[in-house]
Amino acid sequence: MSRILRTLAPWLEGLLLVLLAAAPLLTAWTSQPFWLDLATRLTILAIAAAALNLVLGIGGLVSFGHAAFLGIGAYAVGIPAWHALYGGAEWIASANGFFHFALAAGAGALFALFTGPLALRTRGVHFIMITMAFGQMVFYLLQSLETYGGDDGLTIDTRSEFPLANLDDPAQLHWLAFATLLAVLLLIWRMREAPFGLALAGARTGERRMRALGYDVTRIRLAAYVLSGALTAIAGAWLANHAAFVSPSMTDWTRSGELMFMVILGGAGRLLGPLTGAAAFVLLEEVLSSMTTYWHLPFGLLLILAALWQAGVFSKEGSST
Amino acid sequence: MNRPLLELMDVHKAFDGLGVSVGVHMEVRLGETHALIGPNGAGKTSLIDQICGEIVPDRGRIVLDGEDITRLPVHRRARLGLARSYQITSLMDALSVFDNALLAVMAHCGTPWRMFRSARNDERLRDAAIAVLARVDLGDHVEHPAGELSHGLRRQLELAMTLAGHPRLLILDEPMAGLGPRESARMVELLQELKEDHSILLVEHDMDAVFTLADRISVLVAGRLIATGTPQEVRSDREVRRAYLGEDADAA
Repeated sequence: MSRILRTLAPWLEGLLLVLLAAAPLLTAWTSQPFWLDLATRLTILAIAAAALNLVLGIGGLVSFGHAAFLGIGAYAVGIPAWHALYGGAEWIASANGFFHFALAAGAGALFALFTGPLALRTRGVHFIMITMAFGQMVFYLLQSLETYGGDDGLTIDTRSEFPLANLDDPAQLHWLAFATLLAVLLLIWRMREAPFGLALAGARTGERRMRALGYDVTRIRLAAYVLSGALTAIAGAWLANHAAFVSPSMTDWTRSGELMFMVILGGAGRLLGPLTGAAAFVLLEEVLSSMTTYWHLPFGLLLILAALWQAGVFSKEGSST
Repeated sequence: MNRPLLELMDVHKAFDGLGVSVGVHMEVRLGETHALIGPNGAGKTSLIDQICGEIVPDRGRIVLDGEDITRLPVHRRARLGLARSYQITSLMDALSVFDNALLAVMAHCGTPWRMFRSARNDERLRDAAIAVLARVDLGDHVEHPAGELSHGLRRQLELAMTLAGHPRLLILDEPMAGLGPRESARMVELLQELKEDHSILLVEHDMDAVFTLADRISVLVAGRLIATGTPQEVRSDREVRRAYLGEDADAA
């Protein structure tokens, strides 16, 4: 069973990439615009999951606060766009998409740079707890921003503006988000083979030995965490443009959990795993929520089964890696 | 005699009031193989942990080749040339044997920040990693995960990795532990080769190996260094015989 899946997975993931690339054409052809919406959401969540996979899958750092980066990236679009329209805070007011995305990446990286050194002093459960705490910090901070809608969030009246592209066109937005996903996957693919990725993986499976060899494990992890934070924030900026809406709930810890599930569902550390995870998540959410309002229950049970299966609980020889 | 390479000066360390190192003065000279022996629980591994930086001493100084390293983190000491093998073999278990060797080589080429060019296809790194593996006859196992090797091969791989950076001082914590007679003999052979051009601090329970390999021996009992000298001197030291060799002779 697992061997079949393992050989099949790359083909399915390749097919999924093709489908995502062609999604605007397919949905126009079948006149089902709703499916494009779903495909775009999948694409954006896959970016975030791939970014989390970098630290969680390759680096073995279970960050439970990654939704904070989504929120930071989203508000990096929402706040400048709001000021561009309604005035005030001229230093940040802008409708320029390059500015929005650069601000998102920069703010995400900066937040990671400040919280990372503290979080990385801890291990295991403590790392999970402290990243979650930092995530909740952002959640409450955004909630307290009355100017930007506080709890209710902020509607984005004008999407990020790019030359030659119009994000109000769902097809163009999809393709640009898809291009971002490809770029992120390419980056992680190269990085995994490069000394940096190898050192990051080495620290996951043999931290003590890596230090004894002379690696500054903490700095390598911090670099990965900062990079991951910036990439996740970029996903957040796409999310804001896609929904034309930002709210503190994007940074809720349950959202961090969902990102984690996507990574684990797709196979932690696998390059295209986050794609599978995001697809499974989005489709399950869609299908189950159309069947019952209590869709979280079967959804949760399925996730538990998937996690147990991956941990090897159902294989004959018991638990394996 | 040669100048000292590693000096411990009045090193103290206590856990919950129990002294694991009590005023230890020790010196490893350049080029020598220095064995550290003592009964179980004497504080040998704790002392090594302090030399390598995993534990910080409460008091005293540790000096490597004239440089005070007492407060340096583990990785900085490694870069100064301290290479260590652990009592319980410590490898990157999920990675292949080759990647383990590659990481050992990379650690001393200053390249861990390269993000885009493949490490495995870098000829300089690859050749060096293959040379490391060939030295301990692991050429046939390059693709296996390190975690799946036999105990003896894991020991050899770890040793190979500590050698990859051409260290100034090799610190080996019970390299024979858990090895069968044939593997032990092979390890002694290997260490005899290494001893020619390395300074070694060796912790070992196998007394035959210790007396074969060591130029000098220090004896640690309950955190105190009770004797240091040539194998002959230590063997005939009355206090050592009483505290250690006599009662432990059958255990070796």
